[in-house]
Amino acid sequence: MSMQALPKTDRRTTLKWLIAGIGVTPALAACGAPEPGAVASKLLGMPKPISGLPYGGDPDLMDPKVTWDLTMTPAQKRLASALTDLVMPAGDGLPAGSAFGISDFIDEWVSSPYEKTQDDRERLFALFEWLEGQAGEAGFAATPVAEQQALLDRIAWKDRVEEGLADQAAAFDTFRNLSVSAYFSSEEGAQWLGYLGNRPAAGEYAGPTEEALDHLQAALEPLGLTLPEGL
Amino acid sequence: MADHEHDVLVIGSGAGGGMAAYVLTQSGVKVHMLEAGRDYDPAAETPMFSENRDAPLLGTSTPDKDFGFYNATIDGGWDIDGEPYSSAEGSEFMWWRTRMLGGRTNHWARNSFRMGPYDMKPKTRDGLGVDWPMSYEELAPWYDRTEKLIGVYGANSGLTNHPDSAAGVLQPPPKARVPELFAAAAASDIGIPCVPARRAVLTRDPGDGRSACFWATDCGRGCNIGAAFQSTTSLLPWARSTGNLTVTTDAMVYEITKGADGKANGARYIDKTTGEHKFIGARAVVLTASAAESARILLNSSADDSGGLANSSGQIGRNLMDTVGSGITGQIPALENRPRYNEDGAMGMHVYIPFWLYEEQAAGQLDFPRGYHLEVYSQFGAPGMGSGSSLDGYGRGMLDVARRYYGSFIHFAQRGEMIPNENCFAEIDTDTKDKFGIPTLKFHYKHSEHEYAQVAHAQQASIELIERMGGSVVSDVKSPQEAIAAGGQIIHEIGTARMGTTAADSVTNSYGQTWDVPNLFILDGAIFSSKAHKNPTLTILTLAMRGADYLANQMKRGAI
Repeated sequence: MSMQALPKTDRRTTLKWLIAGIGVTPALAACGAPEPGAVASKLLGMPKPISGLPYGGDPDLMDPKVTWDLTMTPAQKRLASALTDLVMPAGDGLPAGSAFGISDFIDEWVSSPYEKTQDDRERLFALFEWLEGQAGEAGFAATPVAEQQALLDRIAWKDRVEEGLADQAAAFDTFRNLSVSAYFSSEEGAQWLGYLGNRPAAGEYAGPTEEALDHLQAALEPLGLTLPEGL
Repeated sequence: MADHEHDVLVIGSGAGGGMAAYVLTQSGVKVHMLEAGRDYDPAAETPMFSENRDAPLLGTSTPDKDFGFYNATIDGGWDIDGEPYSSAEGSEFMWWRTRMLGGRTNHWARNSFRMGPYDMKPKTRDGLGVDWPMSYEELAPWYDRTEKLIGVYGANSGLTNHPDSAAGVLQPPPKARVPELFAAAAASDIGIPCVPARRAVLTRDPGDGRSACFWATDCGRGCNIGAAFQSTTSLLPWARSTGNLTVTTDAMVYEITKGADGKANGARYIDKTTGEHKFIGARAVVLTASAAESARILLNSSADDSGGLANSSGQIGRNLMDTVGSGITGQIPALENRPRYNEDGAMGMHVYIPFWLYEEQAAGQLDFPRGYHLEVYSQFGAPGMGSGSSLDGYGRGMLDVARRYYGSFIHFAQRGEMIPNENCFAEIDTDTKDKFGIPTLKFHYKHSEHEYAQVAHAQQASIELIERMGGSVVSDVKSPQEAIAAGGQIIHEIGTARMGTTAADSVTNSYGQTWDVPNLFILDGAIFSSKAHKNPTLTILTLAMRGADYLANQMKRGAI
């Protein structure tokens, strides 16, 4: 049921790739998305063209499926995986991002036949190209972490983006949002974040714990506020 | 009348249609319901507990599912393939539809606030718009019956123009969560009320097969235990159990027909499964297709009236209104790193801020004539797309920041009253037809200074609350003209066949009975005379209960 820390072969991956591509959808062309596969890649290979259909207005909610093929090249996947581990390195009891198959999620995102995700595809692939081009001959994925970080430091911090790299910085912001969202959406990631919901309970809603109320009391006092009664 | 076994045709199956069918069938009236969408079975189709990670794209919104993968909206959203609508030049109107049994009751927010005495007589109070053709006192017992039937949690707070319910009607509200208590503390200090919200969610087992909320899973997905009210788990099955209800789904109604006697005698629709045009007769017709769709059907029903059926007043399509919406988000340092606990609760609001300035308004101290409320949103929400937004840098330090900030944001959503104006209406776009060949709607929409001034006030109040909580505003504070939600965007569109006291300036009487065609009733949001800041569904249900009860009595007496 849940996404365990199984590298790249978790349930969501296996379940959702069942449906084969049926060719380029007219809907995609109609919505003004770029030509499928138009994003040529010199360094990381040529990704497959977009294929498959949007899941439509009445998908089976009880058995979710991804209705499009994945398209990233193995080299793009390796780079995305390395980038994932930079953004989310192992620590504090959690594995690194690649353990959650997040590069597969990035692939699912950029391969989906929607205007917004196709826009992201173009921007993210350009970011990948740039990172690969800036890395040494071994390529970004095989570059020592310290050098990868030095590269990332030129675009990853909002108040110190290197001049001329605004597009790369914006694309990295998208990558960070996508990958961190996927990380926290994993069972372990959600646990680490502290999400304790989605569990049914009989009877009254328990409400805040004593500890949570004490914390609130301590927060209210310096502000001169009083815990309201009757709520 | 021999060609059909039913008495009444109900067009639509949401709040209005569900309630009308329930009341009529309970009275022994045979009802045939037509629904434009497909059949829908919440027991089998509700993705309770399903994880975002198991949905495509983490379940985030797409053009296919504007409110996310798991949302209980079928073949709907802001746009439906082959069923276009348009906005006039200079107007922006957004029309949310769904094509499923139960309509939008399957995913609504369940916020259920009563209109009050001031809301029923707005023109008397400030000279703007029109009054309703009845007082709050006339409506109050029907609110009690509706709330008792569907199940609404809340409290009687005894506030001006926020009426109490009769004793024993409300379900007990759930305990407030930490950010809600914090907001209430700040509000109280500033002199703003913050009280238990009212939502159509059961907190006690009603003993009718539905269950009390078990404090998990987003109500927007629908609720297969029946705790969050939707017509498909309550009104429709109850109506069916009488043996008096027949439902035909995939029936796209485009015309209500009228006989030589001046009475409605049925409806024409397209059977979407075959494309066939069909006719179904009836002794009376109840139209509950939603405010805009009902107006469209009437305007497309030419009969012998000029400009549509039951439109001698020329008011069909006019007086289109939506709730005034805007929002401000703050971040509260004192809520950072707060102790975790299960904060799902009833998923929606446990507390809210009702409008509190009626006296000042009456005294002319405010620069806007009508009220608003603030909905309070903050909780440890289920992680999903966006959990990684607004971060800086990378690495464990960045993840630690994300965890520190989790649950420290609070959003105040303004929901305000709009005043009808002549620039807001829907008309038939004679140039465009949908895939069924039915002429489509064109919307005209313009807010006025009343709404902009109200938005500015709500923004200031929200900012004051956030600052009193020691927080800072993190959303852009735009000008009211930019901050205000587009027409229709709050999905409270109403008013397109308003009720009134005379046939000259209204379409129906207070029972939703059209002045022109006595056996044609409209019992959805179209009949609202004004758009109070209160979310409209509870009032749609209440008006439908009252109107259907009146219709059943008229039929018993042989008057219809």
